[in-house]
Amino acid sequence: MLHPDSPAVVPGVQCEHIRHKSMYVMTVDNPQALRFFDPYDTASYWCQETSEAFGPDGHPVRPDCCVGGRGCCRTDPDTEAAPAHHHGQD
Amino acid sequence: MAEETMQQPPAANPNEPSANAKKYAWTVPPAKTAILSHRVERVDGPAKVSGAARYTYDINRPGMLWARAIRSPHPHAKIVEIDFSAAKQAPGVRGVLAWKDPGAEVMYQGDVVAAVAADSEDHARDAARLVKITYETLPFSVREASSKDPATPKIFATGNTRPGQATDVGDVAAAFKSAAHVYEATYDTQVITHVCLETHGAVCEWTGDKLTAWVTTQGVHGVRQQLAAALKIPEANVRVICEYMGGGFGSKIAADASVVIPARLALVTGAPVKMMFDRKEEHLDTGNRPSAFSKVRAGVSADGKCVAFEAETWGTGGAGQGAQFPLPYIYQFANRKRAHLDVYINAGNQRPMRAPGHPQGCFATEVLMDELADLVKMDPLEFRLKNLPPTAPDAMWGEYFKIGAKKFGWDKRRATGEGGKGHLRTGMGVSACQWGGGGRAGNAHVDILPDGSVVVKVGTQDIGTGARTVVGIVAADTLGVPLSTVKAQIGDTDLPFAGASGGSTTTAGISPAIRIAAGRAKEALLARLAPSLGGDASKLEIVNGRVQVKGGGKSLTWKAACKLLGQEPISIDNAWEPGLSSVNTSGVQFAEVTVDTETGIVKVDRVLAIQDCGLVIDTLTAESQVYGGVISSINFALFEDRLLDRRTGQMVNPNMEHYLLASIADVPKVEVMLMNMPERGVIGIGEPPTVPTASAIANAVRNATGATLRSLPLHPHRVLAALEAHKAGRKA
Repeated sequence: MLHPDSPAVVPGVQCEHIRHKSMYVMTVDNPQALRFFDPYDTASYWCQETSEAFGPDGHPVRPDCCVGGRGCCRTDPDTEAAPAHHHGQD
Repeated sequence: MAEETMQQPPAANPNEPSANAKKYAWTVPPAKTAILSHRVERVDGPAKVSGAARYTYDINRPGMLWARAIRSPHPHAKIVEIDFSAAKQAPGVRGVLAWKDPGAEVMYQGDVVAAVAADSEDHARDAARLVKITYETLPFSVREASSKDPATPKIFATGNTRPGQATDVGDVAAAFKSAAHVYEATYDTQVITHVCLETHGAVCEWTGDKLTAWVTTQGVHGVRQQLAAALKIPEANVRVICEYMGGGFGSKIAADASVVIPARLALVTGAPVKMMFDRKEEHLDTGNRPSAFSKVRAGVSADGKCVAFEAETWGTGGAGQGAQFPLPYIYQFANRKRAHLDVYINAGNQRPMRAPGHPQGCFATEVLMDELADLVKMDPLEFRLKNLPPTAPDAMWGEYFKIGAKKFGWDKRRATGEGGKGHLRTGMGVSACQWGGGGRAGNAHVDILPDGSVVVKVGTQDIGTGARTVVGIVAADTLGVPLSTVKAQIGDTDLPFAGASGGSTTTAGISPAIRIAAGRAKEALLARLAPSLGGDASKLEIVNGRVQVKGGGKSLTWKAACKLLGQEPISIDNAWEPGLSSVNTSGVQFAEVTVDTETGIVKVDRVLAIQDCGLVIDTLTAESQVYGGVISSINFALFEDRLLDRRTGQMVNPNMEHYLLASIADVPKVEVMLMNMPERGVIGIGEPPTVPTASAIANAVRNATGATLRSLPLHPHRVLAALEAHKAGRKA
């Protein structure tokens, strides 16, 4: 099926830390679902670096902004992620 | 309460079946099966009602500490300083943690800033109050209208709004010109929160460099991956356990602060740490269903065909997340155009909530359909039948509307506004739903042990819907043994991988793997037994727990047969394969209400839910899903509403006293008709039944009173205002 939650997150384009439900809830693609309504995106996104809906820079996590050019974005799978700037502990 | 399951004609399955799927195809139930599709009680029911079932909330470890988060009281502010000095001196405090650093911004009331761990829950709360955080408050907006206003200062770096996916199909302008009637109205639904009975949280314990986390989650394997990434440790060093969980509804898929904070504090303090959110934290910071506003213009032909649709929609998913929804929903407008705007406010972010987007789109569309039906002077059901997609195995609304109308007594429905005399008026409404479902992520391991035990291991989790029972039924039915013979092991990352439980995918994700693994295990067992029972495995069968030669001859009890395995059990693994599951479900619901026109109180008298979900594994738990979905949608229709104060940015009802939910007295008689479609394979039923009830209720109120309710929830003041507007001849 075309999962109503499926957004366009492409490995190597968006940051490797962006997460959404359809990455964990696996479904069968079925474009036939579009007989009943037009495409839409209800997905909520979060960052696995911060465990929140905001990235390490404090800005929202979304596919359109979690891309190259954003300081905290990591798109190279060979690059070790930098430690999160927050989550300091004492 | 429930009807017998009803057989449907064979239906297409879009998945090309694998060789194993063909070999182990489902037996068409229920006539030819012992338990598949029957009414089977939950195997863990006694554990749940006796309190023996251990939820994350029940986990307590030796030497365990309690953690408490410190959250922003402001809707938008910059953190200037975090001072832990007093908290560190407080009794019982063992560790503190800055979740955000000075300089970072908090974007809503309840945004986590820091946490403490202490030797008791009370000490943790006391210490949390002693953490001194200095903020620089910043401008905020907690209303969609305010954030949409260009005069409002930019609160979010990327802007206060963002356009969503747009639609432009056909020739909308020409279609409106050709329409006999053009109608305009605005519909809206509110933000509601998940209100999981078991709040978010975890118990985390390190043994050397290995972490065990008991988490109330919808996906143990997903949480393992996320925890490992957040802590920068190998996934192999993390074990996540969720034996039982008290509701997630989509909000417990991410490994959020409720999981990562106790893991970090456990590392710092060297002790197990438990952190469970309280009700206020749940409302503020564990997700919600976005609001949805739809300013609609629709055109209809004189004979009742929907020809044109144009909508401007918007909604808020909180501080940076989207709020889209399908519109129009199900009914066919050949020419349509839509623009959508996601609006950001300073409030907690949305998370998936049971059928994301569908209840919102369904409400706007279904109330519009009733209004259009009146415009062309047609019965609302006839009008719907005229505008549905063609009937197909995954598009059965037309059939279900007809079946439901007969069953519900739709012929007794009176015309709009003629719901009786006096202050109590009754009316009927109807609505439809769609959902995909159809998972593909399940692996199963089946052991047949020499003492006759059967152990089925699947790394799924039971989010309260009966997964443990489903695992047992599929294995027992395939093997031909009683359900009590099978022990289902789930809820642990030490078990074979399965996907998260969301989107009505669990049963379709795990059942094929179990079916094939159990089928192969049965074959292996019969091959081992053949020499003792006549030498030909193909002539053996297992019926009601007895291994026998087909057509009569030698036979053995299950236990006696398994004893012949000696010290070598049967042990089989299998993954999900296509062909035993499918996608796309359809359903309709009818509602009857009584409206007190003096008080504005709406009482739902009865609901009829007709729902398919492919092959029904357990009629009883499938019906339970429908009951739960209907009740949840009654909450959406009549009670729930997250209220934010526009002056302070605070949620004014972050509790279960003023955030209303249905009581037992508010739950009507609910009739469920499951439309069993075994030929389609397993699909899933968690989401669809919660979609249409609210709009069916709103339409029933309209039928009873003549007043159209275009905004949820239908709180008494809103009903009274709509009645007043109707009386005055204006739109509410």
